[in-house]
Amino acid sequence: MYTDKVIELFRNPKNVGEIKDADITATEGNKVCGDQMRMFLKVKNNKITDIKFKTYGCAAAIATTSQVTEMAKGKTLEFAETIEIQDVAKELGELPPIKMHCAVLAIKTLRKAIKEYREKNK
Amino acid sequence: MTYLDYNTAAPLQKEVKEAIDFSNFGDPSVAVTKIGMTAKAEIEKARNQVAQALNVDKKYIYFTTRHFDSIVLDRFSKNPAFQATLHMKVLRLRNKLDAVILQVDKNGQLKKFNPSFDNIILEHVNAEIGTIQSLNMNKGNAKLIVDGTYAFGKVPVDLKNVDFYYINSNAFGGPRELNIVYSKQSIDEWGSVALIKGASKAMQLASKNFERNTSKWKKFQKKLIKNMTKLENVSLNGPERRASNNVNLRIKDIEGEAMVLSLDLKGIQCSTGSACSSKTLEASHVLLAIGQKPEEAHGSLRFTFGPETTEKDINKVIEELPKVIRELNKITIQE
Repeated sequence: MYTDKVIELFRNPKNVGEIKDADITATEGNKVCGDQMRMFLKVKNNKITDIKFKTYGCAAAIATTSQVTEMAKGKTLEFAETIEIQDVAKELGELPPIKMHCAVLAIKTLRKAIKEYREKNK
Repeated sequence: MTYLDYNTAAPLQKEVKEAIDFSNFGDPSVAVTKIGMTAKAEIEKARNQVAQALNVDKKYIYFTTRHFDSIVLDRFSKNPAFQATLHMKVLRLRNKLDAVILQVDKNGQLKKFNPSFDNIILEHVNAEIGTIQSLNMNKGNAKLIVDGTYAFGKVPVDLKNVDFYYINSNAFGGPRELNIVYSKQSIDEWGSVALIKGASKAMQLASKNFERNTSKWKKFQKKLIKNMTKLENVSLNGPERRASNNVNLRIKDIEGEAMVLSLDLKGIQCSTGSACSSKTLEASHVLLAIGQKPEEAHGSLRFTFGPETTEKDINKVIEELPKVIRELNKITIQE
């Protein structure tokens, strides 16, 4: 079902953890549905200087959250907002259609974090 | 490989593979020819073996490639009641047949019900949590239609009160294409001589080795449950009294498919009732039926044993599962 890249990111996910003094923390999904993702961001001068995640979910959920945080790290908020499902799927080789919702949730979590950061820092 | 997913698919034992000989390709209905007569004789021999294993008259034994759900739809669709934990393939017929769902308790046992049906469709042993249903129930004027797939070879089978008993032979190491049926009414038979011979050989072996298999499985079951449930956040799913080849664990805050894949990467095969592992993205209806919340059902891990399972396999799980839990606990959201 999974590509080597998804398996690799599942076995050795990048950016796992929490940031105690995060500038923003956002959670999407819920355990009732089987997927929940949380991202912690440090932002300086409009750039995501550090990003970590925790995920309750399947291998695809863990791999996609890891991938999205990797793609957002060091980027501006504007750029990070433009990360799309297809970009994530491309990096991962391929995601089975039944697992695409994991990529959707990961992007949703990142965008929520960015939106809430902006609102907090108006 | 540490294979502990026998309830999903079982490997064929050596003697079963040897019994599956496709050189005998005859059709038993052409009994006037030599090849037809040979085919018929082989099938009757297999029928005798199965009847012996089930301790019933051979006139009630049939071989078929049809699945349980299609037989239910075809023959037992009048005023039916379905046990809530039946395989989804049967349960999805509920609306079409206007079936009443018979609820189960927290152990998966049927709650008391009024047997005012024409057909009561239930399972002898539940595949997921191993619940053993007594077949000596008050069935009123109904026919008792039973899926015995996960029962034969694991628990004693007494068909006195049963009108129809279906077994997919892969559950005890036979070919998955062939099903063995005990039926008080005649049904159409279909299946190649080779697969019928394979299925009946598997049944013979399961019957002959019943004591040996179940006593070692009981030992493994006790050891695995004892060692895993002493870990924090790990508990047993389903009843204490269950088919001896079944262990189903609940691990809090970790999703089942992630655990299954992690274990698979370590050479251990098992399964889960999590939504992420199902085609419909719904949590196991069995775990929900026994009163679990979806988030509890997502964290299930099922190990099912077979004749080839050794203590070494159990020890490997005892060694590796805690590591998997530790690693996934670093990634998961704990609340």
